[in-house]
Amino acid sequence: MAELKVLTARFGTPNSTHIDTYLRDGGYKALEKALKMTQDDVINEVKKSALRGRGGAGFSAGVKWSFVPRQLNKPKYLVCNADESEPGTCKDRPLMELDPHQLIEGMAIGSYALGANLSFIYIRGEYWYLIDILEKAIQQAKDRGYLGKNILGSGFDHNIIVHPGAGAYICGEETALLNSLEGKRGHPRIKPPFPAVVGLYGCPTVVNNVETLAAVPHIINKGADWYRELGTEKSGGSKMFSLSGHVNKPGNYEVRMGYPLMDLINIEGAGMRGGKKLKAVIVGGSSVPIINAEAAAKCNLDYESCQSVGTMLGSGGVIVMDETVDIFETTFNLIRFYNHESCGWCTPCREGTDWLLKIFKKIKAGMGEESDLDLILKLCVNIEGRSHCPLGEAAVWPITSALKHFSDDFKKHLRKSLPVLTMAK
Amino acid sequence: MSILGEVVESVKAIVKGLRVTLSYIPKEKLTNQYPDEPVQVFSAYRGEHYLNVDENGKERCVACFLCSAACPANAIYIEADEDLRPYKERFTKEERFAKVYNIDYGKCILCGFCVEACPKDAIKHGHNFEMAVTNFADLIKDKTYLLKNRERESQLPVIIIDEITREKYAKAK
Amino acid sequence: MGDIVNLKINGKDYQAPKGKLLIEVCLENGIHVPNFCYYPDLTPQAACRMCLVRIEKMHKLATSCTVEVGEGMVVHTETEELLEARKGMLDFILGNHPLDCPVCDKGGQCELQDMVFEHGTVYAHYNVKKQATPEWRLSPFIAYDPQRCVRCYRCIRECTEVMDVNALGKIFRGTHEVIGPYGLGMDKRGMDKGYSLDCEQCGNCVEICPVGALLSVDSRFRSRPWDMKETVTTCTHCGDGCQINLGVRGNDYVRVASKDMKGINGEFLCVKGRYGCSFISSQERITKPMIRRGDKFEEVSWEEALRFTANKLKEISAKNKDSVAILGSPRLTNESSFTLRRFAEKGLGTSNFGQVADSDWDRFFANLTAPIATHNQVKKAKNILMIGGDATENHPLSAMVIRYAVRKHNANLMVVNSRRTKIARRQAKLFLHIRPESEAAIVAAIFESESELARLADLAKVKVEQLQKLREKVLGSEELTIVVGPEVQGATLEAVAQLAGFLNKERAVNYLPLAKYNNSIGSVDMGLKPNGHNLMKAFGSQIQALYLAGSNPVEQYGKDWENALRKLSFLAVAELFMTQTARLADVVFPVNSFAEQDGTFTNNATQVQRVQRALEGAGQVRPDWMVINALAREMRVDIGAKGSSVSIFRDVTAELASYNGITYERIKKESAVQTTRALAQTKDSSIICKDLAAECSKINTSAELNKTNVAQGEGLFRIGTMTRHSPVMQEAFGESKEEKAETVNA
Repeated sequence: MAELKVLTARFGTPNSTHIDTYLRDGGYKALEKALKMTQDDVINEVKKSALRGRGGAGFSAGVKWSFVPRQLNKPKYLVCNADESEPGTCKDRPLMELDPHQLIEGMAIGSYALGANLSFIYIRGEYWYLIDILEKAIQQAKDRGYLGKNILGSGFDHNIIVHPGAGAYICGEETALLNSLEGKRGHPRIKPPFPAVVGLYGCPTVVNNVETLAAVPHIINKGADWYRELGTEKSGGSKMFSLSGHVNKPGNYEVRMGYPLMDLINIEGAGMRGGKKLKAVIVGGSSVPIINAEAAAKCNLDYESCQSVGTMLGSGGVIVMDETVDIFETTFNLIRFYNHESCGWCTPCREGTDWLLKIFKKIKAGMGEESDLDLILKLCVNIEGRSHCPLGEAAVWPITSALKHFSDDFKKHLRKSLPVLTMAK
Repeated sequence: MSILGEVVESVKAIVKGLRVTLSYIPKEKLTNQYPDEPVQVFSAYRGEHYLNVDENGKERCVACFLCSAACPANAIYIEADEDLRPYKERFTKEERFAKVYNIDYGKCILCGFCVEACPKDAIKHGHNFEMAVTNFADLIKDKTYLLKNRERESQLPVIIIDEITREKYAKAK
Repeated sequence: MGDIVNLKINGKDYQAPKGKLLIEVCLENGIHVPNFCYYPDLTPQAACRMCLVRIEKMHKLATSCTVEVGEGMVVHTETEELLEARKGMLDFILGNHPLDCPVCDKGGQCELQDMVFEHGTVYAHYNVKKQATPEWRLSPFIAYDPQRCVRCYRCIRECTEVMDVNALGKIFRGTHEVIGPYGLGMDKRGMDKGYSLDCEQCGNCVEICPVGALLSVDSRFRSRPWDMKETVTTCTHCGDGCQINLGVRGNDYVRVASKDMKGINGEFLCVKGRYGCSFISSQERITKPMIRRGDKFEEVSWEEALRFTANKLKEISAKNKDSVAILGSPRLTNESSFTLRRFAEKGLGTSNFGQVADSDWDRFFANLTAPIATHNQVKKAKNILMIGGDATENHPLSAMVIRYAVRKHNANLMVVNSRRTKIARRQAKLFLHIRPESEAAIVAAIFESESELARLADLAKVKVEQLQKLREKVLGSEELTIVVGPEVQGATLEAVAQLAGFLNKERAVNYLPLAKYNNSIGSVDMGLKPNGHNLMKAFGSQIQALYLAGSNPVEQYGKDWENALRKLSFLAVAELFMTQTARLADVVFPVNSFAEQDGTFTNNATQVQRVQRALEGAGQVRPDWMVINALAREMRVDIGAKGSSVSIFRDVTAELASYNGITYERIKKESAVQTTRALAQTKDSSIICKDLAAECSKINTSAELNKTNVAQGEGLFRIGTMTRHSPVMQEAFGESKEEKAETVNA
């Protein structure tokens, strides 16, 4: 099946980051069109397109925008979440690296719809080389009048500020991101109030993923129905997937929503590397339950189908593992990551991930016992649903699912038999 | 009744009367010739306390006051202090230690609550029962005395009956 | 109070005001919800996850400390699932907890202990090695043991929100997260780099720490909570009169804690209240009466000292009654001050009596036209006018309640001060930075007509617009709380007291005078006028003998007093320590400190609070009133002496109308009883204007503005007559440190 090219359409174009090439390819038409529409029309169009947040939770972008109290006499903000640090996900990087104007246009439309005059791109600190590209693109857009005061004579002012993060996974969580943007310590806020009401500097704020905002110009340009029909009924459009692991051709692929997972592996990824058997797949970046080959066969790449096989679409980082992989090692790696990235705010996540890591280390050292596996499960129950933000849950989902599907991998690391204690007479 | 019969009856009565006494003559003796001989006590005997030390000879007591809180007779008085030197230099196991540790044996009823309350195994009952003094004030034993009590255990005029000898003892009985 | 909503908790119906936190509703209705990070008045955190409850129609367990009650809410707090969740959470908290209760000072008073006892499991599931983080001395007063910390962030919020100091923050991430000073300690080695907490050292973080993570170095290892006797008494360091729990073991001072959060101050105490009370157990206390023989003092018996003094006083008084003077102090209890005045009036018949102080509170109360606000009333104030006074440094509790009003109710705080005080810099909505000693001009601006504003603004060196704004706000506000500092004196103070009457009685106006010392107001009430400085001028001429109780004017006011005291032919001093003043005396009587006697103090909100005996005085010390009674007996004069503080206080209430109806029992029940003041007649504003004009003419118009900021702890950290003898205060702020060399009687 041919690759679908919506977001990635201009990736091959030489000098694609320059505004001239972007304008040549029909850029900023959507912004012009949107500025002629009313704010409500823009929001309704996005709502109708069934565009869902590409950051992981999959909440409808249009609905999120409609939560903002626009009549409130306070500044509103649009924040682009470019703090892409989910293990296995690298879809936002090419979107910013190869087509920054697409994002800028999307943000301009979004800001117009929300009535925001200032928006931020909160970019991951490790993407320092993208800051330059983005800032250059922003300057170009300003020079051409697509940013700044009175855009295209519509009376709408809009500016974008690029703000680099300082290397914390937790700052990908929207409220933690806002805290970090305000210059505070990056830990999640208490919800409610949601950022749409009380967000950045206490003002209504919408936080959207890069990919979500990048899709907005296409929706405005070609219409909500066109976009919706690309995907399924509830999850419209196309989505980028970062395919990694034991496939022949790993990389970023854009496919329609509802595309079968096995097709992604076998067609786009050109099959398993070395013809080995598929063992497990993590569909949506490390924060989702691991599924086995059986479930993977039934899984389509949309939010509902993923849920039906017991996982989530997440941010679209598809990690493929063949039969040589020891799932224990995989989860060990993941829990190490989550323990390191836990912000320390709430008890279950802070102590739980630490405890889990210690037990994993113990098992790794060959000192594990059968009861340790039960303890792991018990800890996971204690963390899940009781932590302050989804990081705690994200840390335990891979573990519980791995223990469910691949308990043999764990058991083989356990201590074989207890040494017999003999006392000297 | 003849004289002979009377003699026989009397002997009978004497034997009957002395039966219990006589029956003990061949048995093992229970009476201790204290103080000429040592006294037998059980290992769990609650004698005068001693303060325990760890394997390096450092005092175990951290002055947590739990013994004095548990004491029904209010016989234990403690003052805590801290010693911030490293483990090797100081004479206590932990930074916090008892500067003053007094047990007033005029009050102590040797109930053993303090030993049960101790979270650090620092206070134990010894087997010494020779606590008589000629001066009231001498009944108050201080920390140095209680620490030395542990060494004195071996020189006590007692034979400590452990589980095995206890069985033997029961059999002998 | 807004709408009332109905909700169901554990199958029972409850009503609560809308917007209230669920946990508050639960706790108020006696439904126990365990919690660490919830604390009244602090922002919710939802960090400890102990307060999880099941709310129907919510897919996850909710933290009751963040959920506001809503109509028709159905809540469960005791289901099997929740009990399991609590157990699990305690497992996590105990995971890295060192379980060193035997050496932890908090053991026995620890919320974690209680919580585990109630909700936890007896088995330790944690079978891997615990983290070991070394203990850290944050300051000379505060030690931090990160291992015991449950990360509830109460301390950080207390420091940031209540104290407005921002000294504590979080360092590192995840399990390595510790509480530490901002800006320092980013490097792990910074932990042992000595003292690093840059704050007011109030120790409130220690007070509200639920576990033994933050502890006072002062009382470290001194006693266990169950082992000491705690006596509720009143702090002696400033006019606010915080209620303290004085912990005593045997007869030794152990520590000060706030009074179970039930006094006027809640959990709040300042550095002096918390750490500055250990002077009572100082070895340097005078324990026996002493008589000067040549250059040396000789310890004598009470009989001898009293007889000697009585003879001397009789001898001098025989020639002229007024040649004997009696001076009290704003530090004595009401009972002692009262007895002192009776002795002067009835015993000696002298008219020269008063106290050594430099405020005119007697004139303030004589002109008072509105009631005095209690600290709790100030918390709810909407408009606050603060004239003079540096509350943060000298009246920490008053500063706290003003900050509370601003923080919680967004009160409109207007500050008039000649110095850039912290409260003016950080909380004030309007700050008039005036020329030194030109408060009269600002007060006059409110009384005078608008045409005078430009001239008065020039006098005080403030902008006319600012003065105009202040005037409008004061004249236009419906409710007003006027806080008046100790540097406002004389006619200006009288005018401030008249302000409420001038503003029209319909409006709710009240006052909070910032009296400097623990019993400044009480001693004035007892009849000791603050006229010490006037009497001093007559020393050696009209006045030949002086009985001085509880004051150290030589240190406080310097050479003038020393020279004056040297001119006297007889000086008797009743003191705690051998002060510079006591060294000049002919007789020195050892007296009880506040912790060793019963009595009452009247604080700056005119609330009468109890002082209770916590420990036995060392040696032969006696309360001041007892010394005077004995002296009177020795002199064979009848002053209606009473043998106990209760009966003296009964005399006080019988004699003074404002103390009517106050008894020790009532104080015990209500903790603090406010006296009722008779309000004065409102004077004609033209008279006040004339007085103020006279004051204004005294303003030194060449004086420049004092532009330096009041540094943190400038007043709080000063060492004085009493705090000098508190070892930990001496160590931290002692005279050896050059920058804090200046000493005052504090």
